[in-house]
Amino acid sequence: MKKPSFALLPFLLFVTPLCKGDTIYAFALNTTSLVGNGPFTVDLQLLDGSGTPGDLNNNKVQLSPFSFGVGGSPSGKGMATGGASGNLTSGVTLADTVFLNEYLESFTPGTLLSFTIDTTNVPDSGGTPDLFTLAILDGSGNELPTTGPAEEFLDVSLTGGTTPQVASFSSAPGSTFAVPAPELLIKPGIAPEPSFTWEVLAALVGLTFVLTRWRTR
Amino acid sequence: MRSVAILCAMVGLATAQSYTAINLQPPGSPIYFANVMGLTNKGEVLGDACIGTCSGSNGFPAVWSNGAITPLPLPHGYAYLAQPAYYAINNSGTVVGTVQVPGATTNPTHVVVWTSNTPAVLPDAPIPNACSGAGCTCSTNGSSSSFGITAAGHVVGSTSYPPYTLGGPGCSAYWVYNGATFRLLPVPIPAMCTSPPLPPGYGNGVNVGFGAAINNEDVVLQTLDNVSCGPPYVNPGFPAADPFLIQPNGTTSFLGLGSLSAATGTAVNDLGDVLGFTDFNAVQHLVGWNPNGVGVTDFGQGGFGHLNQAGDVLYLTRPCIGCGGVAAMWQHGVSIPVQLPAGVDWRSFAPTAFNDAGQFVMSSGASNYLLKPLGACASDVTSQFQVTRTGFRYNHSTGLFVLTGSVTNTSGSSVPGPVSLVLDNLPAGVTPLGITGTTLCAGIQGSPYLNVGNLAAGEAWLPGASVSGGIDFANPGQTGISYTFRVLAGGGNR
Repeated sequence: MKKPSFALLPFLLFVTPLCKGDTIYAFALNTTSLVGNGPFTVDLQLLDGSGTPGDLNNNKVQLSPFSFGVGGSPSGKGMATGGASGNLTSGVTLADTVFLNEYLESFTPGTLLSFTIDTTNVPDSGGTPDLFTLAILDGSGNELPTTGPAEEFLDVSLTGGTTPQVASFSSAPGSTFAVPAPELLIKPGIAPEPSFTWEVLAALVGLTFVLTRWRTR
Repeated sequence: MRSVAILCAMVGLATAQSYTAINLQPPGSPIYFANVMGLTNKGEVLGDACIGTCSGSNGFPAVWSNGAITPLPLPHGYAYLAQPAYYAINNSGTVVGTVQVPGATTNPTHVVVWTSNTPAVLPDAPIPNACSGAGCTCSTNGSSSSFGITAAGHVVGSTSYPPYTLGGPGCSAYWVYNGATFRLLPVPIPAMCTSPPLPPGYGNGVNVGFGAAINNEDVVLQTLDNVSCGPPYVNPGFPAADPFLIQPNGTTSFLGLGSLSAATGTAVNDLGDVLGFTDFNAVQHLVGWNPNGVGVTDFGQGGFGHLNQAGDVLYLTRPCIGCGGVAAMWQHGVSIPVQLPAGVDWRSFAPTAFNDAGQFVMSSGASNYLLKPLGACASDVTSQFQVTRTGFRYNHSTGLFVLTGSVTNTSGSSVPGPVSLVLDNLPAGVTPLGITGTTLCAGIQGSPYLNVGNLAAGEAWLPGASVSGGIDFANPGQTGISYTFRVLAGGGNR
């Protein structure tokens, strides 16, 4: 039997990323206690593990579509920092292009804030994982107090492995607003990487080239 | 709410700590320090130096490190201003100071920052009404002074511009400079000093006292002095002096005086601890405030004291110069006697600088000694622990970055406490809060460490036991936070 040719190597290299799937979660936060108050701001952060070049640009978190429940809506005026883009209407993307990547947008709370989280999960070589968090800021720009270590409702730590490490937190005891911890359900299936189209095209070109060479031998 | 730090208060034992003394006068060197102005966590000393006899005009700033004194070059066209209050050094070795223009009368001083021994003159802070043209009341010939520098290189200082009209109102302000812009600091005028309205021609009767202190979160400490805000114009009036804090967002808060009639603040650390002094019947006492600005601690008569980032206070109380006194290190409510080596005594020497590793400088005239705690080094048990990190988040409420994680004993056997997590190789400008101290023993010097697990000497960390929590970092530049870590355990120095 003929040994595989090294000509297959480019094909394999192209195919490898396609097998690495994102993790997809359905996120839901009961915001009923916030209705009629405000203004509030959704604070979405992706902080790199160190901000050093070797750790940057290896993770991306995509958030969409945002739903605010009965009576809720986004303001349409957001602020993006670092590798953040989009808005609460079209969806938000956070990439760890710098240390602090953040998207802020005010909203009118309804009964339920929900959206889908589609995230990669690549560990940083420095040992501290990239961390996606969600918090809600009050009218003064301060986080609503929670039981989280930095006043957040959600942690998604991109540690590598099968899935990220997830933790959710409720409002701190005695807070003005009693917001329960969000529900986070992992969704089945593998989502393509954002660069899926180009990688598939490149892989197909490579495969065609290899097959052509085989046929002509 | 700040994150719950994974460290807890170290339980101090009131047994004396011994020190070894290093003479800061290099053998055979003609350079010596007339005054000591700062001490870094790596044991570098900033001083006011001279060659030969100090005459007041032949001084220059210099840094002592590992037995050698290196002069800092003055910027071209400027002369040294020998005022220790105007000079400071941060833990990266960046120095701030104030220099003067020789012979000038309207433009006397400017602020200089030395980075890697290279001086750069800062611009004067722009202040409203100091301009040219209609509506301008002050000239543009500013004069600036510096009072402190943060880990991130931010400088606190003041600038004043003389009035165009002789006797007219001047234009001046204290400020924080972040390397690009000036943040002018507000002055909190107590409502009682402006209402009911004072008689025509009277001001509010208060002004900001000389100088300012700053911590690594850009929180500034100043004192409001009362000149005439009191009876018969207002009743009861404002205290004769009351320290206040200015947050980066401009909000201000006065410290509670408790039973004190007045006090002046001199230092604030990253925990929010404040050190200052007050007078009891014309006798100065050293006093401190906890992070909430309440709970005044009286360290006693004498008034010599220094505060570090771990919340320790090195203090000396003595009723008069030449009298015997009491010297101690105050750590979390426990006073630990300081045992000095022969040749350095409290009767003639006073502490002039103090760092987070527990080192300090004692000075008496031109004699200066660096005092280092004696004792064995703690054991490196990094391989016996697993340190798991969740990641960083920026907390808008505190303006701090929070690193969360856990520390677990994976060795299979007990590890003697205290257990310390050391953060090595942090970038300049990034400062962890709530530290227990900085390293001075084996390994990298000057690295911050935090005791974890709330273990005192004699207690042990059980196999498999784990603690989790967070560490707050001041990082005004919002730059990346990279580091390596070590775990040290047992008694001895870190």
